[in-house]
Amino acid sequence: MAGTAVILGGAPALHRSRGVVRIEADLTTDASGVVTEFTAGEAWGRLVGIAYDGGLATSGTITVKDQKTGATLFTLTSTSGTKVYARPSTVIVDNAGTAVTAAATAPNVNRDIKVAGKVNIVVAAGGNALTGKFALIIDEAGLGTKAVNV
Amino acid sequence: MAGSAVTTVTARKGRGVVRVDIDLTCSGGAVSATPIGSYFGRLVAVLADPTAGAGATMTSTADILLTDHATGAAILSDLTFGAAAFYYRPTTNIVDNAGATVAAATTAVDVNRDIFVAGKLDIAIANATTTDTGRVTLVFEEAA
Repeated sequence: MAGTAVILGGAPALHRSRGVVRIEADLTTDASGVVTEFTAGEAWGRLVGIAYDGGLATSGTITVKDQKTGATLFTLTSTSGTKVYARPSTVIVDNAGTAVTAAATAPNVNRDIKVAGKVNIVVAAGGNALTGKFALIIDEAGLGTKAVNV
Repeated sequence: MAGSAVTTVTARKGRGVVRVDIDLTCSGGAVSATPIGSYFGRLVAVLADPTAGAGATMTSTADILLTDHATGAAILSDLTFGAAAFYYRPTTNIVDNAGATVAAATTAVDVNRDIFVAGKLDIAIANATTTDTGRVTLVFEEAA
């Protein structure tokens, strides 16, 4: 057999639903405006909400990543003093990994972002020694509208 | 580590469909942000009665403000309490994975989705008159 493929941990990772889960992070930047990437928690479901108190500097970026791969799931650019409550989504790709462009023949290309496993957060350019609160809301119970958000 | 971060994970056993009735009494034409409890699910209905309570009818242009307690971010901002009882199902315009609002278009339909909440919420009233009274009811769908 050429090459290898090993399942980490020896088996697919599963998780029992906890309903709707909130992962909240109190962020404090250093003098360079950075919060080094850290593991915020585990999430197994749809990322259906984010909440942010606007505490970091304008142009500060909060990036949410899948811990194991480092892939970016969601990015929020701060406007100082502007609180944000939003429902994130992502543009789907086709089976070759190419983003599906919205068109009259392809509407509804934005779908919920799904996460499974540990989630990391990192902050850049957030201002000197500023504090902010950022929360992720994950629906592990599958409460979403069927057929549209699945 | 540069900077610091402290995280808290909160989940609660779902209670199915949950209703909270909030009796409002203004002081100086407002109700300050007041905790109304913790909810973990979808906000599926908002109802209000501007004539409830013993005080004057709630000013029709009064604002209903529902916020996330921890961050203060606005979940619902309805700037018209209205002159009669009402019911509606709220939604929110989705954002993309960079936080930019996805504009509705013939090529981008279904951009309004259910609002999810998780944790303690606050309600506030603004732009009412003196000691107006009224009622707001919220319905959440939590996991069964």
